[in-house]
Amino acid sequence: MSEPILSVSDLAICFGRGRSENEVVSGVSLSLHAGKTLALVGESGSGKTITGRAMMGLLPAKARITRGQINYTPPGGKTENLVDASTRRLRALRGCEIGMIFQEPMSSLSPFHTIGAQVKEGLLLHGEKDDRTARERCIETFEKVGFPDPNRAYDAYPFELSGGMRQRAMIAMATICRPAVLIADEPTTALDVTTQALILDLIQKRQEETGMAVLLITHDLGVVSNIADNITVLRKGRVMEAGTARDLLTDPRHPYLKRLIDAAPDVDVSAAHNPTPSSDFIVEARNVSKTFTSRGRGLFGVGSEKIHALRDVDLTIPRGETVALVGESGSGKSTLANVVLHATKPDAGASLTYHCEDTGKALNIPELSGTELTRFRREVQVVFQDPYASLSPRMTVQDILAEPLAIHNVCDVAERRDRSAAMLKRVGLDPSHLGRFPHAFSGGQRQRISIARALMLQPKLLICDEPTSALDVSVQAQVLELLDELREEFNLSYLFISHDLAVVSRLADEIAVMCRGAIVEQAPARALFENPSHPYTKALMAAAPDPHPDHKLDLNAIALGAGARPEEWPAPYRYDRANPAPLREVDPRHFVRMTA
Amino acid sequence: MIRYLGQRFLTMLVTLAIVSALVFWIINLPPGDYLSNQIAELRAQGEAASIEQAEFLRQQYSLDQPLWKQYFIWLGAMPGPDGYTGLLQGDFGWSFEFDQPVKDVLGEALWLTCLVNLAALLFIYIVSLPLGAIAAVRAGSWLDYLIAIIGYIGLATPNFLLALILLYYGQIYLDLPVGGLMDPSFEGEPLSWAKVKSVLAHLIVPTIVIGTAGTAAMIRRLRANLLDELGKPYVVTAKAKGLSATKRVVKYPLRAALNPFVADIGNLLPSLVSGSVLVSVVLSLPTLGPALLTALRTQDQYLAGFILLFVSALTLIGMLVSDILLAILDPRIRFGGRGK
Repeated sequence: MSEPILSVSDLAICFGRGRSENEVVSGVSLSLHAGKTLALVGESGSGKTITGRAMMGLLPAKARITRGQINYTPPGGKTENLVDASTRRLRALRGCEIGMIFQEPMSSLSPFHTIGAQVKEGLLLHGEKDDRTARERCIETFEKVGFPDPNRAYDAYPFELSGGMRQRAMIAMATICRPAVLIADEPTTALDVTTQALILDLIQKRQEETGMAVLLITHDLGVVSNIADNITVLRKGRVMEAGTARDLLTDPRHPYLKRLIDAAPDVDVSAAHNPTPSSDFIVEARNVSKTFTSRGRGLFGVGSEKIHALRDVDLTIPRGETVALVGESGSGKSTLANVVLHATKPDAGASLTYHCEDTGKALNIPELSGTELTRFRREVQVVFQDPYASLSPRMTVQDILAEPLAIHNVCDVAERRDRSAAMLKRVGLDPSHLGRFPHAFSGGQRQRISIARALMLQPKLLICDEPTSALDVSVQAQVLELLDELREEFNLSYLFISHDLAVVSRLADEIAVMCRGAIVEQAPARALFENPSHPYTKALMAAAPDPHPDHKLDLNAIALGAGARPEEWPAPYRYDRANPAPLREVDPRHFVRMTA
Repeated sequence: MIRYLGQRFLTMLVTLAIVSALVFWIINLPPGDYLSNQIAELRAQGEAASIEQAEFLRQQYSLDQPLWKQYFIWLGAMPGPDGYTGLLQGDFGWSFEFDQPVKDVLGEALWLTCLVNLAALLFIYIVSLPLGAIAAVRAGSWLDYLIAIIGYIGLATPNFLLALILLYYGQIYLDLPVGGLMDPSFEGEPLSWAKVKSVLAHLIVPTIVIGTAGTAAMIRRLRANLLDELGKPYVVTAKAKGLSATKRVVKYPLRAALNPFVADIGNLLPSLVSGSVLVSVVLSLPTLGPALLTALRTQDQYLAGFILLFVSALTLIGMLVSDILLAILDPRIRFGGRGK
């Protein structure tokens, strides 16, 4: 193999000093080669981001390199150790020979400067004197990263672009000086799956054009299998396993990597549920629409715009089953959950009924009030996406769990405590931790606490809004398993919201795929996975990356359904947004939105 | 952009109209008015001739009319008796206390008030911008603490005390002039270079005194804002591009931290104006402050009303200026509705 461009050997990084010193990276070695991609894989807290930052001298102020070398050998140049490099030298390298892409394209771009000005800046800093040439090269790069209108993008501000376009701008910014090394820190984690596939493809294309070495930092083995040549697996700051992507993914040696591969969600068609039809619905939604009026400019809201967050959605949740809503951001799935929760009022004309099992009454959800609403609240609970934000940091776990009981005045204080302890035990945590605060727990444990809190009132319906998307894959699998067990045990019905078909594949009885506020395909889980019909469903399935190196992303399938633009779908699925096509039953209980 | 400005300007006019009504109403809340108080006093002394004259004045200034009529007459939306035209026509009314038209009572004070407050505002911004930025970038260092201590002293020291101290030592060591806003020989004189120089020399102490508290608060605010911004990912992006440390801070986070800084112009002005009343008395500055105090005490309604309205207008103009600056600084405000 050729000489590596960048090689890290025995790198150790510490936070703090003296007694509070904490080594977060211990003896990591890796090497990057021109034109090759190395994936640095690990879960949160494994030290992968810090390692990537260290290569550019971008460590946070509290961290420092205590040992090891980062040797950089530019093509045809002399080797130098970046650990000892001067600030001036590092500054010359950054952005010019080593570029970096970050996870959050919105917050990584300055909202005060145009995209063009921010991308051009790198060129002007590293040698380009003439502003007009810089602009031209900028627009040329915009074209290469796939902006449909490079001139307009040049003058646009970040908040005027979609997430995918922002990440394209970031890629343009990091690669405009044709760096020898590109460090991509979770470049697609914040993006929808279909956008993720396109961005991964773009990074590969840029690599082919410039011959740069890429360090891809990620926790997603599906992403890795699609673009990496080599893999280094990190855990708690140590290298667990390293080798070529094919070897490691097909024949993992280290139990940690094996666990990661097993935990990666994939669709197992034979395991997908195929429920028997039922007519005992806990929630029945018919013709639910929700139109938001965006605030127009001007004193009297002139020029306000109507946004159809939901469009004539029909959805029923059979008692004791799991209905999954799947769609990308902005598809309206969370709005639908809010409507079912009595948190958002649907447009007039909707019929939304909650069938209470104990009283046998049918409750009209949007009109609920008084004792009926209180009862409804007790029977319908939510688990939110972000376990860090949804638990009050100032309340102990005991207080968090007992609060619903106190609000609904269910039992006395002693029993509340007993019930909290029992529930905490049930979700797999130690009841002796009741007195702790949420910050003492990891993300997965916090989500268990959230689930426990939701179950305290013995609800009938649990709405899970992306309950695992903020968690690491191995933790995600455990939480999904817990949810599955609890459903049986507590006789629950689930409305499960996710952007990832693979996540819901084992849990869901019925799946509704949403796009732009409308359900485009709906079927029992088994039928949907066996015979996905709508191009958008197909794109979602094709875009879900698979850790097996032989199952690469099918970009053509993604392109057919991606972008969520109904006008661009192939016939007979194409429709004008003002005039949506109807849902047709192609097989028994399998509905697809299509004309004729 | 022009639409945005037009809108802001319209809102400002509407606000000013509402404020004028409120001001007029509040001034008239205490029972009676300047003249009826005087009449009562004269009656107690049994001076019939003066009472007649006062009654005549009451009619002249329509103080015998219902309040809402008085308001519209004052505003100039309704014709008053004997050709009194009202604010909109540029007639500010009569000051009973000083027995002069309001215009003559205030005279130069209007512009000197603007001058003193503008100077204080500039002082606040010029001093707090670098100090606040340094405090944030060097957070936790001795420089940060030093700036904090100076700031707290500025906040905690009563203005009038600071005024006396500065006056005394300024006079002894720096030969700064004592009191007033210009040498007495220039009062009422036409504008000349010598007069400007005299005014500038007299401005130094009041500017520092009035500006200190605001500066201290502003430093803390800028420091907090900038600290927040310094931790944002786009700063790392700038670093990853190879920008030098100073440029990195000035071009990106400082720019973001300026937003609340600029938005505060409108809030600063009223506190400056009301805060400077006492200072003006102590330093015998010919600003609106002392006149306002007298006018409010004696229920000299036209004088008080005009001063309050003037100060409100100043505040609203400050808000307008900060809105314009914000729109220039922040593209999210400028282009919020573009191209979606």
